[in-house]
Amino acid sequence: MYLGRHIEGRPADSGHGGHAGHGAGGRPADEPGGPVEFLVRVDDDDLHVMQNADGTWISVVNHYEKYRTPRAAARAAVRELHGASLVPVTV
Amino acid sequence: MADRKNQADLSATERRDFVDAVLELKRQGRYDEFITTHNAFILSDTDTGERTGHRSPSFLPWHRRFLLQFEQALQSVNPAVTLPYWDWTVDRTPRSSLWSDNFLGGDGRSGDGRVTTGAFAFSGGNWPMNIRVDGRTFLRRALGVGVRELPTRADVDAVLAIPTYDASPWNSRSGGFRNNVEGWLGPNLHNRVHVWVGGQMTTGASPNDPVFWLHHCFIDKLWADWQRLHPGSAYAPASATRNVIALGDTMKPWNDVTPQDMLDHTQFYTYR
Ligand SMILES: [Cu+2]
Repeated sequence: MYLGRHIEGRPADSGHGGHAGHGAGGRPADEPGGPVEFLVRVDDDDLHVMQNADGTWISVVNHYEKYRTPRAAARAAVRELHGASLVPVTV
Repeated sequence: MADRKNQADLSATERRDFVDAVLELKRQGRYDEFITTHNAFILSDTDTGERTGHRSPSFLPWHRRFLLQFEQALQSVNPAVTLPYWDWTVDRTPRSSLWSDNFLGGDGRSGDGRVTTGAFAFSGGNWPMNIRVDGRTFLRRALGVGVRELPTRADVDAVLAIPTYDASPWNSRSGGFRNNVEGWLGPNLHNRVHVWVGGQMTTGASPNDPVFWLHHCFIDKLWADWQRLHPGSAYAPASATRNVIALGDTMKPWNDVTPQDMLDHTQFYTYR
């Protein structure tokens, strides 16, 4: 829990298929040493997160700022959301 | 030839024409298509996968084409309109005329960040957030909150001095002009401005704030400035490279335009 929001995160295991951690429009990494895929949810809504080549993280809510961990990116998103719920973006 | 001007030099009529044309695109439902396109690329451009709009060499030509398409849409409403640019090294406070009631409106209010002045304020009813990453339906800003200072002229000059356009691994870790202007490396130019404005500008749906276009127009001008300073430097990569757009490759979503086609902006407009 953070600021009253429930944050959940886990590495995406490819075994579950279908949902590859990149949300809508996501494509799998295919260069060597690719980033870790990670699934983050805030109050049961998907938060799209992505790892940068230097190991830092960003989310769709704070896309132009780097965070050290998926959790830090999720907490920044929660602060930015100000209680609003995430909306899945249709692409 | 169309002139793109500094927003600070626009006449009252030019400001009104720009705002009116933007509102008309919104009313027709055409504005939101640009937001959808931008967010789709934000979500799918990754450092080790296919990348076209961001964190890759084609960041600059992709956005040049994207801005041209938007400018053409504006001109279908009013042929006299061109994109203005925001030189944030000069107009660097919330008191700038950029944020006045008769242009883009002001800062968000404290608490929920809602913009309450100007034509894009929620209360006007003309600026709904149809494409959004969260439930809030009003335009938001928090000028100078996410980061205190906009980049300075010295920051810009340091980036303009970099002689190489881009370099392997062609992503957010690359040296070179492109990644330094995008802001993943160096003094942080483009990314920092998104964070300085705050609100929707920090999200993948950043074109929800019309300042997106004025910010990217200045980034586009910086590319032109860099080309003039380094006539011997070329777009890179020149030949096929995995996951990124080489000089002669076509760019999604248009599939009929290459970085090569975008190199000379003077075939489309000039900067004043
Ligand atoms: Cu941008």
